[in-house]
Amino acid sequence: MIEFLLVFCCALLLGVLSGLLPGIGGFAIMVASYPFLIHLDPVNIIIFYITLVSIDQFFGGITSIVFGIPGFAASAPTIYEGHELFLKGRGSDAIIYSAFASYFASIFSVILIFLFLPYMWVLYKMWNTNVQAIILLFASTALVLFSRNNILISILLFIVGNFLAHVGWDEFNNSEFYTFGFVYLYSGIPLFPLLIMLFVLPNLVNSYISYGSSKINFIPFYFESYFTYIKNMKQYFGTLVRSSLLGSFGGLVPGLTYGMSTLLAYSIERYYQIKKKVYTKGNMSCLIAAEGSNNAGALTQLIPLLFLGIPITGSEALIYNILETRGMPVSIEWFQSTFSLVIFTFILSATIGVFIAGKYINFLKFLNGMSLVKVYIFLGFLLFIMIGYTGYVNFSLEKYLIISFLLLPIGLLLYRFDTMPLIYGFVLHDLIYQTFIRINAFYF
Amino acid sequence: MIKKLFATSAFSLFSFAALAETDTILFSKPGGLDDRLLTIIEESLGTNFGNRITVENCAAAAQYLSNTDKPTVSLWGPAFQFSENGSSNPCALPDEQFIGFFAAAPFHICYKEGNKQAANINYLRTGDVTIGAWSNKYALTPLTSLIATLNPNAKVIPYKSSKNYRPALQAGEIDYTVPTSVKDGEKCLATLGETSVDNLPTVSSMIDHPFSILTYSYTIVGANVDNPDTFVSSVHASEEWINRKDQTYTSFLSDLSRAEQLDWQTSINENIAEKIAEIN
Repeated sequence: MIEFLLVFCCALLLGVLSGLLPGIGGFAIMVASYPFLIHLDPVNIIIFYITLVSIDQFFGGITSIVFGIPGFAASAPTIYEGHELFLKGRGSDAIIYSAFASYFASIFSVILIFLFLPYMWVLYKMWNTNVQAIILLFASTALVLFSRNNILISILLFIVGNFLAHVGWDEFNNSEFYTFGFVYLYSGIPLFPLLIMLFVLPNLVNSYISYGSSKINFIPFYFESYFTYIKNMKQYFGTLVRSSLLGSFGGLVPGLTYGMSTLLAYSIERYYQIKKKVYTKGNMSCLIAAEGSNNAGALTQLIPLLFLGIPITGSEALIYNILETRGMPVSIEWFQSTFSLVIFTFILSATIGVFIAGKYINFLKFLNGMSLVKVYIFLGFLLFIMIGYTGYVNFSLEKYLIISFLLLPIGLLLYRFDTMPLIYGFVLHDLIYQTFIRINAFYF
Repeated sequence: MIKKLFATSAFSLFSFAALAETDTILFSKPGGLDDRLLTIIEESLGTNFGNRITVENCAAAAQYLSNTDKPTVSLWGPAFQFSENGSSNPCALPDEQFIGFFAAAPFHICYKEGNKQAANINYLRTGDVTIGAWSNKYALTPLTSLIATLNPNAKVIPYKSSKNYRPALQAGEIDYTVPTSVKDGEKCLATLGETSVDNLPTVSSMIDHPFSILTYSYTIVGANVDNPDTFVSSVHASEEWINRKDQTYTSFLSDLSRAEQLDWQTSINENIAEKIAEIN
């Protein structure tokens, strides 16, 4: 019990840290915690992971909204919509609605799991390569169609993203792709510097042009306001159900997980808003869709591990390896036995997350009245340090810095465009490529 | 038992006694199989272990090994030495840096537990089956060639890793997978090992094919190592190796000399290159 509490508290703190600091995702924390994790009771390793992932979702969203910088790749829609809301003086609303959306989606995914548990096999059989290809095609098309760019530019950006992601050593063809003989490029271009330079930077420049001379208007948050927000959430009910459902199902798919379902939920919501002719950048429904689907997927991505004994994410594979190293019986029966505790921990951490998020808003009061330029200059330094740090922990500091400097002028030139198609082209490339290879093997 | 442990410990101590500190290189994420096997090597070195150097990929590791003047070893594999049509592999090392084969595990042909149709060997040999395998060309080419002989109706479906083909097996998208380690919920039908494992029949007893014996193997490579000829046997004699918890990977080709092992690696890589040339 003491170990459980200690692990839970550590995971809460580390989850806050990984959410707040750009570039440090849940997997990076899991890897950094590896020397400690191997000594824990096996159940507590899973508890550590689920708490970390749940809290990371809450705080990653806050960083994206307030500072316009990402916790991870799936934050791109949150940055796009949330930071705009922040600049329009609706920062508190954006954070609290996101937190409630995350909480709702967490509970929704728990209920969904309980309802569908007897049919899990039937459901799981749906996730074959064909279905994955259709979802990928649908999500990519939606992304390109509903971007604010001209369609041709969006397609071009999507292709460029795919091209950049293919750089490196291609195992399938046993050949290199545009590495120019640089050893560090054999493992490809890292996502983080690319995300910062080609998505965050153009967005911040764009925001600076629109809001540069203004000062930050951050309305403090009071505990009593929780009830008002809960009442107001009713208007987003349809969005919440749609995004939670997509997030929950997306989380089940190996290789897709919640990054993909976030894009899907966001694109569909954006389509609805455009259709209703109410869409402008900084749309609350779109933000809620992105944040809700994230959290729903965070739990359901554990289902293949808990009920089939199959790790489908890097962090889950790490847990699996730890158990194997220690000679633990990594059986489906054992994983299933942890289910109740996992659900309890997930709900507990989500509840704590929603309250800490409210508290954190008041901590951000110091931003009130501050000039946007000062904040962006500070962010520039912070991002530079974080790129260096993530490069250092990934054993390729030079690569991260060189790539950042090379992409910097391109990012500045792209400030007029919505570069989300490029980022998702990059993020989805592996899935698209692998799915294409499998479709080819199945049918040709 | 105590005598055996004492003897192996004494042998290990003796073997490494005169060595300078040896560094190791890891080029994959912590916590994986590479990390676990490398840890065994490090622990077997005892006080002669220097530092672990972590680099980003095998090409960076190869570059490090070429430039260092300290005794340094790394886990490697025949795939890193493989090239086709005269193209260069960025991870390939000169032969003198080959120290020996360290560990290997045979691939098995496995199905989802409870799938009665797939449990029948005749279905594997004659049915319209789909077999999920690792999409690495080096591993996929010999396997595809082997499966074509085993069952001309079979299709090999490439997946990026076990994180992808294992769920596909459970979802029923494929009938079989070809892993080295068997997980809960999976049963195996045949092994690609040289000899029977857990009473599984060997594929080599069913068909005559140059790749009917297929293993995933690790070698050790290094620079400035004082005793390359006995390095691997010293690790194998250590308590850390003997008492390891996961026994999936066992010593491999240990009865061959270092030169013979190198020849074996060259020959298997040439066979795969030939097969790829044939397909092209």
